[in-house]
Amino acid sequence: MEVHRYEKIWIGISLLVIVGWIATVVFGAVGPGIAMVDDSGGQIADPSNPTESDAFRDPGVYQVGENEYEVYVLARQFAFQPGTSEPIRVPANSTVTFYVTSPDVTHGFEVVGTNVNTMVIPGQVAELTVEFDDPGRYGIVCNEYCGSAHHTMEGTIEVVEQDEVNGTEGDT
Amino acid sequence: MSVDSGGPAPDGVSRRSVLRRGAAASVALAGLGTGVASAQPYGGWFTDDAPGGATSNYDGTTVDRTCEDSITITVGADGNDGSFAYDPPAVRIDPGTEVVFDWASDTHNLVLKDGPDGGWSGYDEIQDAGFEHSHTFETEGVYKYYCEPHLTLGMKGAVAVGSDVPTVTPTPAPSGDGESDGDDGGGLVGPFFDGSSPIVSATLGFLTVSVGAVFAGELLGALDEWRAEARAAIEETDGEVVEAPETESARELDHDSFVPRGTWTLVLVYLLILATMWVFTYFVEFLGREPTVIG
Amino acid sequence: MSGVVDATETETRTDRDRDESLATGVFLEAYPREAKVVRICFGVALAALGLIGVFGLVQALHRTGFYRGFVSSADYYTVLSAHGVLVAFVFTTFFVAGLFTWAVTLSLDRPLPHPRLTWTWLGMLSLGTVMAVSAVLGGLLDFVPMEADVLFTFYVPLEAHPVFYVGAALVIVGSWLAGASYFLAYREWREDNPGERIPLQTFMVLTTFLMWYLSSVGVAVEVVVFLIPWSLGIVPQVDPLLTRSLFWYFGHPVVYFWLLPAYLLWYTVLPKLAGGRLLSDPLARVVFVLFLLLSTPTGFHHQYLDPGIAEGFKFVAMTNTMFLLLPSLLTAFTVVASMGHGARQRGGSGRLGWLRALPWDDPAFSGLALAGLMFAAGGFSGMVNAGMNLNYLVHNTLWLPGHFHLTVGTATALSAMAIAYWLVPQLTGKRLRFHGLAVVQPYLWFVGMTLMSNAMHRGGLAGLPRRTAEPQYDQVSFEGVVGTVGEMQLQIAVGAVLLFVSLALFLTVIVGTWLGPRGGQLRVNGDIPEPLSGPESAPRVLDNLRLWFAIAVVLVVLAYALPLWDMVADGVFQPGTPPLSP
Ligand code: HEM
Ligand SMILES: [Cu+2]
Ligand SMILES: [Cu+2]
Repeated sequence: MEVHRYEKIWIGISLLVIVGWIATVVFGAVGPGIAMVDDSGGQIADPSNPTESDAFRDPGVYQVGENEYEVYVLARQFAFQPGTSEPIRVPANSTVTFYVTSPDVTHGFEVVGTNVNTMVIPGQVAELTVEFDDPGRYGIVCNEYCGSAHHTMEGTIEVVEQDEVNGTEGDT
Repeated sequence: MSVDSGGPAPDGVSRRSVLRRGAAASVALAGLGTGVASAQPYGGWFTDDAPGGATSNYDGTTVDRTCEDSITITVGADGNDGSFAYDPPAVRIDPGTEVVFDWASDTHNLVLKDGPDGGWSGYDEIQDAGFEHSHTFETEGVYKYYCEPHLTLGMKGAVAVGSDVPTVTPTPAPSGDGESDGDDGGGLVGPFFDGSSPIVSATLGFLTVSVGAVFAGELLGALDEWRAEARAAIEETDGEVVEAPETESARELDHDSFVPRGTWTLVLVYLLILATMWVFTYFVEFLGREPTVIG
Repeated sequence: MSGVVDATETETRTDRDRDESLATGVFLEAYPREAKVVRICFGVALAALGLIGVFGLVQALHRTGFYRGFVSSADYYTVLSAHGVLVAFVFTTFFVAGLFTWAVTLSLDRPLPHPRLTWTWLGMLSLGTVMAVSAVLGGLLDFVPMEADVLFTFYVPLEAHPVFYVGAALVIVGSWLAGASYFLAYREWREDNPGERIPLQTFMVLTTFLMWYLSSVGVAVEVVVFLIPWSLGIVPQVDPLLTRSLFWYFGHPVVYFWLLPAYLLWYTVLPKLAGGRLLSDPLARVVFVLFLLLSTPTGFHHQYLDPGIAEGFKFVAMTNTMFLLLPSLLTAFTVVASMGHGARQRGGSGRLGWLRALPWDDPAFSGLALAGLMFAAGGFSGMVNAGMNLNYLVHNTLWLPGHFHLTVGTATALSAMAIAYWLVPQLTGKRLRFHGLAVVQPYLWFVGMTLMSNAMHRGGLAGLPRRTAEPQYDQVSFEGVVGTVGEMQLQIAVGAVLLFVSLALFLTVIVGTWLGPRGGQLRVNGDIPEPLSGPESAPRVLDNLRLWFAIAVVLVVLAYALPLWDMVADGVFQPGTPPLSP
């Protein structure tokens, strides 16, 4: 097999570069600690009734620690609950874990302009932990086709000053 | 990258959405603030031109339910390509009648588009099957409402309170307040081809005609040429199909006398570009974003 | 796959001069029946391409807000379903079937065996296409009582009419039978030529089809076992995660099924058009073997952001995907070097000056070369997609259409158009007409795609979602990283118009040629010269297809057994959802 010297070197460089890309991704996982959505959110035996499952609570924001919150979001044709008719309100400087599932079809949950993005699949709970440092507003869009009015599916997250949060406990 | 993160958020956002509503006729919600100039029932609320398009289960009639104490409107009844209808979509009742909105399917609400001052204000929260909202309508007038998640499917309704209240009113033509000041935060280009400007239409028309004429002329010429060329070519070879001759090389190079130095340069440059863009995308664009998923 | 015979016999290479045997004249006259099959396949593929362009233009103008008068926003998704289904099931499948029929016939120098088998698969492909496409278009046409607004990924529980699923299944099974034709032709050839190396083009076809058999089982199971019974009401519910995993088990290798025909052309035809010869036959074989091995155990990279799948499995898929870059990087070198060889034989010189010596006014050459160049750009966005956690940045944004319009939308589609300029005359015996239009067409595509794809990538970084009729919201706004969103929308629309015009030019040339009279001197010559470094010097083991297939199966089992087991352990239909019409 005749292979040009340049081509041999090229194969070597290519392999090095590939290892380099993989190393970058591993760095992102262990350095800044970016974790993938996985199976930790649990499953829902009857996808159309998520709240009856142990893996999912009534939609809303729950305080679970000093600066820790859990947000249960139902993505459904064609709204986020909460998120669409009222914003998801969480305090700044908090660690928020989103639990997102769908009682009907597959949706997406993308917080625009951030790295918060997941698929929402009936029967599965997507679990994402996010740190919100500064107050601000973020838009949420559904980025997976979910029916004829998919393009209307949007919501907002409001990150507010600590002292402005009141009565977020389990509201629906 | 957030929506006005840190800025005077609520204001910015609402101003923007108001502008947006006014701005593009093609945006579903556009026209919510402007009337439709026609003598259709409910100002054209159920027609194609209104926000969300036509309401399929509205057949042009208003169901007369006057002289009743309490009536029911089903929310999420069959219609509009799914369970996206109010049934009946349009009713007339007497003042003092209680209306029970009964949710038959999930994820709907009742957003008031317009109604008389001091009357019913809708029910904005999204609710599921089994929920009920009731309201006794005292104030006379026409109430138009829609379902926020399903507006684009045509899920709209109307209640006329009072037997003398007309459902057909001459509404004013849309005024100039629909003009955008161009500061459309979403940055979406407004429709160029909405035909609103006669200059634009005239220019477009002229362009179409002239380009069309040029094309037609070219095409006719090309067809003639095509036929003549084909005939000549066939005669040349007596109808046989003959391949082109193999192109002659200026020189023959075998494997060892060809050194791919130029290739080497090109692929190295490519790799350099790849690596640079990768570093930018990963470390600047991706890791630079907040917030990020950490578990 | 019974035709897979490994070539371990002793070296008894008959000194048959392939150059001479291939020079039997125009393909049409040497193999009239095969030429007809290829013509039918190309005819359907190119007609599909025309429709794809029409729908593409409608989408681009609609979603950028420039013109929304063609369809309502609810019907946008019907149009998008048609665009995607025509790409995924019609254009690509027919193009592959046609091209591979040509390649196998030519390189084995014999007609396909069992004509009835050939007509059977052609019939199945056509019937499946008619069923699937009419189910989708039923969403736009009132007189067709069917709908399939489920996009080409048909994620459960959005439901299509059963006819859609049956049509899709027929296309898959038809493609399997087409592969059987190629394997049987190879077996016959092997009986006559024991010990010879598999001709390169046939080698490429066979490895591609082994990969295809291995991977399309996934979608076949999804459709036949789950979706058809479910849409008919026989099975009440199916598991959305399991079915989409089966889809993506097939969904990545399928893109290589679309791409490898372009590779075949870049390796075997492009060097010749450039005036040179392929640098290395053995390396080309290595590349195709790598694709066979690594294409399938990567599907989870489309599910990086799916809940319900453990991170470890995603990481394995990422590693495989990254190593899949290797064959593409190797190809870049070999193909560019082969063009360089051609340029120098044509008298070119200098470190980069030889580029000027290439036949840029030959549309077959320029189309294939530009397709390769755009594919190289697509390689970058593909790496970003593959970068697991980096996927948070771009998943389901407009970045994705930006990416695959460079890959399948240009590497495959533009290569198909380019090769049509070269092959259609050989298949019809008709000289290419409107040559002037053909010369500019690939460049127009290149410019249009540069505008559209570049803006789509940047739009994706700004967060604009894909598959969305009106990406304009009340409470959400988008900010470009580079450039403004308005400028991106403008570029997408302008790019789309240029692409559409380019496609129209292409179809004018092809239809004009096809309708023209037969005979006369063609502009093309069908000879394919020998590679500079031939197969003799390649290790024999490269031709041992059984071995490579076995390893590929093992890799798939390693990557998929555990995660699939996780999904089915609680019941194959659990957690399940009933059908929902979109
Ligand atoms: C005139 C040429 C074309 C134009 C203007 C065009 C335009 C578009 C646009 C705007 C989208 C995105 C729609 C959305 O996500 O909302 C799209 C999707 C797509 N295009 Fe094209 N396209 C063209 C040709 C092609 C070709 C030749 C191919 C492949 C051979 C192709 C493959 C695809 C695929 C696979 C999708 C994704 C469909 C989906 O998300 O379900 N397109 N196209
Ligand atoms: Cu959605
Ligand atoms: Cu893939």
